[in-house]
Amino acid sequence: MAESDLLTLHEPNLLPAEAGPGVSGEALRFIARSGAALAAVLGLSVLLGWAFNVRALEQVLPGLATMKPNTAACFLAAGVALWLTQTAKLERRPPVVWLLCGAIVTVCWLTLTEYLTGAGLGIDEMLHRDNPQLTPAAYPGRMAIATAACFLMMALSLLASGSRSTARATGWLALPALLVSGLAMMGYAYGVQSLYAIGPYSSMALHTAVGVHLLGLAIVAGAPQTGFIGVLTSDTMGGSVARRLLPATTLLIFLIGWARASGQGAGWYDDRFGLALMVCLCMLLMPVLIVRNGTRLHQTDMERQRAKEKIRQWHTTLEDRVSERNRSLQDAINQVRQLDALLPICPRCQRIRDDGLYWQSVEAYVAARTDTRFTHGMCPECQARMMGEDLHAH
Amino acid sequence: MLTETAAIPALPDPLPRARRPLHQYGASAVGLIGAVVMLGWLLNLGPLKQVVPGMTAMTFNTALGFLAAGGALHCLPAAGHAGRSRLADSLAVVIILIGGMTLWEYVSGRDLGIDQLLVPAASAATLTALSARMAMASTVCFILVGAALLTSRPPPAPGRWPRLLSLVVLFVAALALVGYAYEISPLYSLTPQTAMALPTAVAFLILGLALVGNNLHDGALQFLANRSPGGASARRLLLAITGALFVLGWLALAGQRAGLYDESFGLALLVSAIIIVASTLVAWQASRLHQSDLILRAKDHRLQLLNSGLEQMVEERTSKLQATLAEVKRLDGLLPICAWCKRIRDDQDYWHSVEGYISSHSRTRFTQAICPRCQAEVAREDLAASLTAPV
Repeated sequence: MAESDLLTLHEPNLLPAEAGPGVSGEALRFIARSGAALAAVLGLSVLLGWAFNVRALEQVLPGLATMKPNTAACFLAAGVALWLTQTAKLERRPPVVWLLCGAIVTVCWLTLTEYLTGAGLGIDEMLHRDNPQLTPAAYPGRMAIATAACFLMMALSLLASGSRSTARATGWLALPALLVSGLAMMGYAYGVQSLYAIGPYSSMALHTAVGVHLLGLAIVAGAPQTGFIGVLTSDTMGGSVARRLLPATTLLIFLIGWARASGQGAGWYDDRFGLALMVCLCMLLMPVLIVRNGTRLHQTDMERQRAKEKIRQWHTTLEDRVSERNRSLQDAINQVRQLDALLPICPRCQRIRDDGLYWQSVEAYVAARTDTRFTHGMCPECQARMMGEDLHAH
Repeated sequence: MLTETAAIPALPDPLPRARRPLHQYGASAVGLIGAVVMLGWLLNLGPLKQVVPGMTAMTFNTALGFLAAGGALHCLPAAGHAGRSRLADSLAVVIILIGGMTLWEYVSGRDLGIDQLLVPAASAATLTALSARMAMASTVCFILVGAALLTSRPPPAPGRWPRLLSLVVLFVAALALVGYAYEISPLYSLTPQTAMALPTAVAFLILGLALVGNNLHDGALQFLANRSPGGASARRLLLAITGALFVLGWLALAGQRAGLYDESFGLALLVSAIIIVASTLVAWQASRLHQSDLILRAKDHRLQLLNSGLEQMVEERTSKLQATLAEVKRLDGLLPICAWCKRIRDDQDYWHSVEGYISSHSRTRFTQAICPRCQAEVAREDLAASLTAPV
């Protein structure tokens, strides 16, 4: 039997047992940190803009809503807090994070209370006086309702990401902020004011909407990967589908809507036709995305099946090998066992007694139990003795 | 020790296809629609011709085309059959003729007299010359359907044309349906007098789906017919998102008509609704895929653990075997033995006693005992010796 059989076979590569990271931890930390830095810089520069009266910083373009000083302060605080969470270990966050988040929650909560009760609490212009000429609003210097709500949710989300038991809530808390800011951005893109302004109150500024969206994404990226965030960052098929398809579909639909709005604005078609055009374009292009994605998924699937098939073959090979080894081992052991005893031998005639009390010649006994065969000859001594006896007889 | 391995169930074939050929159902449905409408024309039954009074009726020739298409789709050779079905081919030619001649009527402006050829006079009395003619979009669709039927081949053979042609049919039908749903007439009638009837659009949709389904056995879309996680999720997403788009668009239009919001807000609302619904569907599918992937990984990992156990076992058995074989091997071959004194010669020409040789080449040990024959001989010799000894 060939002992090198085992060496000629190659074990298939090991497949992972559990979900691994599809996006590396460094990449996620990088996203979180750049989001944090961006928010902090945005907040700081808008605050400076208010201090030194730089219009471009207060309201990106003339005529648009301004980012209020309180909002800018919230950006700064949230950015610093997020940055600090990324440098500290989970469950060991510096108390400053709690302080900053608490401050944001307080300011936003008070602002929302002001809106609800109609009472001025004097926090709107505590950092800098508003300039009513830029954007006339019912309450000068007050953050927009949507902005206050967004920051409230994001501060809570940031707090929730601090411990494993509450980490699951991070995504859910950040989601409304992402949605509201996304709607506001869409409002600016499509020219629909009602998406970023509510009645006579302050509107969410363009850079606030963009900043809140990016900050929300950064908070989600920096959170512990549980729940759907875990799916999103894992290397499973689900993770890769979510990472590819979610941004692609969102962007595609956003662009189709934008194309419809601009075509309608140019007067190429009426609203109803625009609607049909948009639905048809979506129906045509979304399947393309899904099919492309499905094709890639299919290839992964095929590779996986091939790897699995290899493992299966390896398994059968191993099973065969084990049973073959067992058989050979049993044979060998049987052979050995047959000569593995205390044999009574007669010193005179050299015959051996087997178990059946039968005395048989040593050649017959050994030959029956091993592969040994005997050739009969005569040893020199016997030959000499024989010759001596012959001579004697003669 | 092999019992633990027996617990692993046999794995299914890699990526099995969906259980039943769905396109067969589609073929039956289309054939049935055609037959019912033809019956309506022959017996002059209004509800069968046009579902709702006042709506465009499916023409007789269109119904005939659908019946033929359903039949042809049914007769297409199944997987593994090399030959072509003559019936399917001739039906496809009939479909192309119906569509082509009607299109020729549109293009040349001449009436070939085929539009009311088969319609009974009582039924035809209500029709003008043009309203009996099938819509221009339908003629094109029939030509495409016929071509797709003619070019489609049974499973292993490649063919991208039938798939492409049927996708076009599918899209034209979807456009007509969107047109009906959103009341945009250009989407379902290219020429003012003739429109693609609603049942016709539905039938073309089913026919297109059936044709696409029939041609999913190769090429880029093949995985859609598979039961693999990728294929299943793509199928689900395609159906869910397309359906959701249709419904959301209709809802947005209804809301606008009811005066709930203005145009631009309606647009933004629709876009955000589509984004939210599509993202939710994708997230749902992604979570499902994630779960199934985790389960697969755990299974594979178990198998691999089992394999590494087996590997260890093989190694252990092999080394044991080698040790045992080393013992056995030492006692084989051709041993020269002295016929008289039973001594054995080794390779160095040295004659060993048989006990010494065997016990040094195996685990056998010897005890000295005397065999009965020798005992008797010894006793006899002793007796003889005592008898012969001088007293």
